[in-house]
Amino acid sequence: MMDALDDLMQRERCNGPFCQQDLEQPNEGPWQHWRLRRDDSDVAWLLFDQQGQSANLLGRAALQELGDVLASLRREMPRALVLRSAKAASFCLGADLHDFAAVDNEADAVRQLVDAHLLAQQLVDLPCPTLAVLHGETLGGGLELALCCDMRLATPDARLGLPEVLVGLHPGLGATARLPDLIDPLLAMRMMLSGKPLKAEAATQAGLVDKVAPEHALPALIDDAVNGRLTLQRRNLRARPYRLDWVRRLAALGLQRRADALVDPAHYPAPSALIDLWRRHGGKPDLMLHREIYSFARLLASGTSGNLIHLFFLRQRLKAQGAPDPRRRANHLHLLGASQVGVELAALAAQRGLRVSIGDQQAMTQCIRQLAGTEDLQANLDRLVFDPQHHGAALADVLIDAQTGDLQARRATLARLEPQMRPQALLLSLHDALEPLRSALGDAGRLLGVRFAGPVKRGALTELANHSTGRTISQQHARQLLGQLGCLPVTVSSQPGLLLRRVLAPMLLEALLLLEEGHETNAIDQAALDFGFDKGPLALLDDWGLADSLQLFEQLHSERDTPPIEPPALLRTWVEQGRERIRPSQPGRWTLPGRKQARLPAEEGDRMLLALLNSAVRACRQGIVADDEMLDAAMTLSGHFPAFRGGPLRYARSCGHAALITRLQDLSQSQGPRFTPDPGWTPAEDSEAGQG
Amino acid sequence: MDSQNSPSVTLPTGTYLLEGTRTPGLNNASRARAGFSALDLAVQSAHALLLRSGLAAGALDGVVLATGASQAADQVRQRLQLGSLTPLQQCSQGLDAITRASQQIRSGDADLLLVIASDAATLPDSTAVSESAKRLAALFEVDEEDAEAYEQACRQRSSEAEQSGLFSPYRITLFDRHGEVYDTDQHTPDSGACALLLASASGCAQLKRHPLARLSRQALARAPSDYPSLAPLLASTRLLQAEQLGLNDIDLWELPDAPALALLANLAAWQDARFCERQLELEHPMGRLDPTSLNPLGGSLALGALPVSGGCRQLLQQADTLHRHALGRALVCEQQAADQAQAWLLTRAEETPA
Repeated sequence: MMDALDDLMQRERCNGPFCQQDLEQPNEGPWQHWRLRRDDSDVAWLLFDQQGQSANLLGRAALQELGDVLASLRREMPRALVLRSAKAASFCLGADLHDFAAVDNEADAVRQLVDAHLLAQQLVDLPCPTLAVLHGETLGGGLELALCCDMRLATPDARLGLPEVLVGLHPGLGATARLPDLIDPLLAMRMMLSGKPLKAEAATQAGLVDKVAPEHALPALIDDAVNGRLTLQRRNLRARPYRLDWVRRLAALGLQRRADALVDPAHYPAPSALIDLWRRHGGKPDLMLHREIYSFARLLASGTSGNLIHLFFLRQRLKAQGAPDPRRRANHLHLLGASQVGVELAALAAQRGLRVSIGDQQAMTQCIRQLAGTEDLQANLDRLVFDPQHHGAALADVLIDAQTGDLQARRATLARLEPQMRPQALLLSLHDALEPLRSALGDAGRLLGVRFAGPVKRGALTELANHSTGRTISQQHARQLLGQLGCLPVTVSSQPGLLLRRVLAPMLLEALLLLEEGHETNAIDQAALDFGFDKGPLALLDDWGLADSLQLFEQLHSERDTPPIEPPALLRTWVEQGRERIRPSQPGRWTLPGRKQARLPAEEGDRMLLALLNSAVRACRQGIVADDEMLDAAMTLSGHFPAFRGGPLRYARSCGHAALITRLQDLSQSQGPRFTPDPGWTPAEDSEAGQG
Repeated sequence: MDSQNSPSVTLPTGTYLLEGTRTPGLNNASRARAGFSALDLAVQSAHALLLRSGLAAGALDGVVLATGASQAADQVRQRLQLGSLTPLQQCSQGLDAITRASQQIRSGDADLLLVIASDAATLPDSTAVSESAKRLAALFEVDEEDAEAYEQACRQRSSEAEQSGLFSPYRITLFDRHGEVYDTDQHTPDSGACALLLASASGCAQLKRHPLARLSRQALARAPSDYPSLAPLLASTRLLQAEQLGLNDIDLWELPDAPALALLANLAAWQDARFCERQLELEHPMGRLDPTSLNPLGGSLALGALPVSGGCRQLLQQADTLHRHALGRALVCEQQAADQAQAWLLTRAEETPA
């Protein structure tokens, strides 16, 4: 009852002349997204309250209205201006990315940015003192607006960040000039290059925020601020040396080196553009503001930014699919078995607040070790309970089958425990094959398969596999559960390899064929890395394990709808010899100096890529996944396709289907029927040709 | 336990012991290596008990915590995830906690209560008791050989109990922060915890479980400061008198036997006519206690002489034995502080047909 104090705290929020009831009424003022009112001492309170949304986004409409608001303020200047957000949980989440997606060309972008900059400058130039009061997430454009104010206060829950770099851009409303001017320039650059937010405390220490105070202490503080009684630290001595060009040039080298280590600048141009901008114009804020516009517009018009913004929306779509239902929160998870993925999943569940009962002693020990070093360790450990008698099976909202070993034994255990489960509980199996388990269960409708593409952690992409007698409602519950754990669920049908491995298999097979033809291991992998993949195909095969990969290839080979591809003899030999990996697990310490890396000819590299694209089209046509956007999302968000290219199908569209089909047909004649273009290719996409 | 699930009978009003868990007894070295605090042990045993009983912490009507650690209440509340409205009491002795819980249940204020008692590196101050024991032993002609023979028998009984698996239903496995496992009782333990689920008759019906035993009556006694080791004798006598029972009406006895000499001296005192007449004001001597009914699982040699949680641990095991063999009455006595003792009478949970 008293555990969630949200409503009381919301009512206590200090909004000046606005009380909570005013804010619950629809906005009757002249503007849709802003509320303006003056209090008794002629201080104007401006609340950002985007209509119909639970969080503020600084879209074009809101910006235009802000211009009108500022004009009205200039007509009758108040004593001071306080800027807050009327939303419960956050100040502003940044610009509306839909606006960016709608921009056609660079000139258009420049025009819009110039307008926005003029507006920001009007805010800076207001003669009266301006104060921004921040709470919750204050990101991107929202933070940039706050930077235009004279003073900033924050509540302890505020998190301030500039995440534009994560969508292939850099700040575009003045932060590149104003932030290094306000705080230590290196810290400012690191903030903008990483996109990670600062907590309120850290922001105050840096000087980004003037004071942090809990909500109930704000009225007194705001009063001090508008009456000039607040002592402000504005000297920023740390910025002084960076006014010199050569100092900035030196610092920029270090920043560039760190950025290059994280991402390839050829594929992700935003960090270099930002570092360049600062290096050249960091000493002159006015010029920097001007050049920021052009740099931003250039990035916006590049393919990378468009693709990353598209991915952002896909991630939102996946999150929405996994949106947990507050009435149906899972409280208890029971872990059966001791596989590594199961243990990681149990550890994640404990961190997300679920009670976790673990049946296997080894699994319990490993789960405890998995949690070492997590925030709030004691609370996480307290949520684990050792349960050798599986009492948890009768109490759990979800039973995770992480058993390894003999199929009969696994079926027997499930047959014994499944009848004890609560009627609404789910059974999620981490094992690949679902069909053999189905017949052991009384109610197979609640069985689903789950596969993690990478390590199990927050934000991990999960394939959720349905089987022939699965219930739709269970699927929905499973998505909600995965969403509650912080994962991104993608529903796929339960075919061999599910979605990701099935799509990747032809590419890996092609890599093996290239290896058989005599090309070098490193050259093959390097070709993929050059394209932008995180891992080369042969390295990926090592991760999957050669025996499992061979099994998958054989299963795909025997399917009716797939062109026959005989797994290479090389692979069969290796598996028979008991070899587990292609490369030895400890790479050799000595490499001959001066030995040039052999490169793969472009033709051969193309073979791998075309095999992948063909496979992606086939998977989409076969209905493994709901639509091609889901496929792109799954492939990129799991790290199996370069994010800056947007996804295999989006990339294919940008190359032009007709051109790709022609190439596939050529290859099918020279290499074999495996390159036959899948019936799912639509040559009518010619209008998009040549845009890549 | 399967034999506990019988939903269609009603129990008379009273306090019932439904279920319990206890940690293994840890000696000082193990506890230090693992880094367990009294609260860690308390929380792990409580979590295991809640899981076994199929309860969420929010379903409890209250918690009574017995531990030497001060200001433990807030931490325990947070770690067990009790709601802010669930009452949490703290006291310093396990059987005191049982008494408080029982009072609440009998007054109708609660139906389901969790009692947790926890020791971590607490060593009882036993010099006064040993001294008094030696003097009384000399007086009642109990010598060292008897004490040694008794201890030998205890060891025997304790290892038999361990081998027949009488401890394993209630003993949980402890995990420390590094994932190390502790699941065996160690010699000379100084740490351990015990969690017990107490319920009213309606609480038992709500959980659809048959309790292990009924907690009928308790008695507290303080011994004269010259003879502190008499305290358990006085408490037990008071309890028997209140219930108008004789020694042979009790099927199972659990009396403190650290040191063994104290216990044997007390038993000898009960047989001494002059002592019973002059000091206890009884007409006849209490008599001879049947040795087979005394400390059947090995007493404090088996479960450890832990000052805070020892009584609760013994209570749990005796209740189990009572239930298992369908016996009538058990008496569990704990030495608290130097000269005080508390005794509890357990009876079989009789059902009346619905």
